[in-house]
Amino acid sequence: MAKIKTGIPGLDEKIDNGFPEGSVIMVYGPPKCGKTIFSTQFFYSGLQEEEPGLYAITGLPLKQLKNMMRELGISPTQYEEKGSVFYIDLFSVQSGRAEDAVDTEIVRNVLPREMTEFMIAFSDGLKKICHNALRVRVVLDGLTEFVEINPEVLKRATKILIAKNKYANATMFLTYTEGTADPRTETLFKSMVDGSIHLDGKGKLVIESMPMTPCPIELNYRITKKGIIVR
Amino acid sequence: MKLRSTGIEILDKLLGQWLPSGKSILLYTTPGIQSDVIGYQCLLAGIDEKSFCFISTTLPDLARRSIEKYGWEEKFDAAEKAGNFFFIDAISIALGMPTKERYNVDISNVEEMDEALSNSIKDIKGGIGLINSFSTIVDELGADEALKLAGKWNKIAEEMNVNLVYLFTAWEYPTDLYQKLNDMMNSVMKVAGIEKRVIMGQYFSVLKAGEVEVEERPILCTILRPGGLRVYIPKLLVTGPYNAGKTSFMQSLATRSVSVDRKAFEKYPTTVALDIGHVDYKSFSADIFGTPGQERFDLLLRELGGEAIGVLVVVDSTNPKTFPRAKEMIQKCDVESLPKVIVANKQNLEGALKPEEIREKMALGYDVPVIPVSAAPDAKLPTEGPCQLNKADVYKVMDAMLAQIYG
Repeated sequence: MAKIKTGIPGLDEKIDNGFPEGSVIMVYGPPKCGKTIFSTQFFYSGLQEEEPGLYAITGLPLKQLKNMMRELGISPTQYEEKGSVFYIDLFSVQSGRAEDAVDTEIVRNVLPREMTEFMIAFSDGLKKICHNALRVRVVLDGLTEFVEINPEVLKRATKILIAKNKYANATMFLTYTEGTADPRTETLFKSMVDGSIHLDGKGKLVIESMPMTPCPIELNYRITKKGIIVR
Repeated sequence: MKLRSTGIEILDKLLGQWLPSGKSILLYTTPGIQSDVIGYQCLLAGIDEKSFCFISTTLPDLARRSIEKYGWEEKFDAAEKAGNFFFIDAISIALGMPTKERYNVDISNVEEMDEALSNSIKDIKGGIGLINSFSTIVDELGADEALKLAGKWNKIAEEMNVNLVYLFTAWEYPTDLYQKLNDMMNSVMKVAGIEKRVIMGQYFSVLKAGEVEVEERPILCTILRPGGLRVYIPKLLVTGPYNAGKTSFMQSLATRSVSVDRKAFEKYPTTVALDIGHVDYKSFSADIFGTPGQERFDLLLRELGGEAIGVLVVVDSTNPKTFPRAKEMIQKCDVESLPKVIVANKQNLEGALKPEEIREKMALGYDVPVIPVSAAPDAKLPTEGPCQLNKADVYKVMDAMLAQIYG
């Protein structure tokens, strides 16, 4: 089975060279533990491997995400121009600043509450990035903002999202802020994914589950100016 | 009883001229498929005549942006200014965002939703209301409450001669919800995707049209921005003998086209590979493929003819000696069983046979239309290469082709 690089120096070798292709991996932890940084590294390493990516961001505006990427030395511009990138911004519409929520060929603005619109944007984005690409990556950063939605709706939508993902043979990366939903919802998320990684925000990373890898695996991690590294 | 158009010709036909006043339609889509365009298109069809309401469970500004993408913002803005069109904003309050619409309610409040919708239906007596989307209302209020409301709104709509269009995303709801919805709506249609790894295309079909039993018939569609929903014909073939005027026909019909041609032994260019074009006509969007006419390219014909939906056979009305060649080409393209139209070209030239004479000489049944086509009145003849044909004639050919395909 093909392996997908994680983008985190020091991590791939711990999990047999990366995430299994087509798997759904969740990274979760308290606020500010590095989930978005992890996501951007995963996303960018895919672009560097000629694996187009879809990035859906819920917790901050796309503009801010791109600033964060720049600060980490990540520059997806050339890949955006090639059509290898698609963004879904689930934050800016709610901010009320119309100038920050402009749809383009590679950006769609939707509300997390509007699962129908999100699903349409997701399908459109997936179609764009899958064009002429055998392997693609999907990042949903993060599930937290969807938690306000009715749990039944969320469960239903997540199931379909994951199914579409698998059908497209995309490797999916989800993030979730620990403690923002009730334990049942958290358990539900964990049951729907193939692998989960916990960051404690204090330097401890635990691979709780990963296909074809004996778990748990405890590692140390650090957030540097260039992103997360695992020691 | 007034019958309303959806703005999509073939859909009107399948629904039996759509809806009598006061009746409802449910449009359900699989997750990931754009369906709001059909709702907006239905509103657009009535916008010049009637007032209508727009029920919004999405942000009105997002809806306005969608409408703009389809190129309809001027009409909707004008109707809004005239007070003939308004939103029921059912989401901004829930999000804590400012709102300024005629009705501003909390989608999770049953009484508010009921009152706003009921009053809106009364406001637009004789008009059209769009509920975008009913699945969001089901998710917020629960299936039982939502169905009760829908039943009530349908009743008021019937009294007020209002048509209600319900958009509904077909998430994994219990089967009995679908059954109850089916039963309470006058008409039901679905829009679904053709998925192979990702959603490659989409189709719609009518599942229920009033009391008339319908056979589910998927119709490929595409969404143009601007333009809206169009029935999509992935391949129309244009074939016919050498020099019949196939390329002229293609270039006169197509909105945009490319011809692969060369000046070989003749002084004017001839097609050496194929012509490709695209036409947006009425509520249809079609890709057209034209074959070369010379026999040396016959080895291409079967490939070019593959997966065509309909065939336009162009013949030179002044040259009956080429008619057997036309029939031979139909056979070589392997399109004998497909709907076809004979384009009797060059009708303006001396010696042109009339359509009925062509029909007789080609031994065609009366089920095959033969449409006369002439050069455009301002075309400079004789010409080197393709010339512009009379647009009215060309569109009659398209009307005949579409009737052959869709009935």
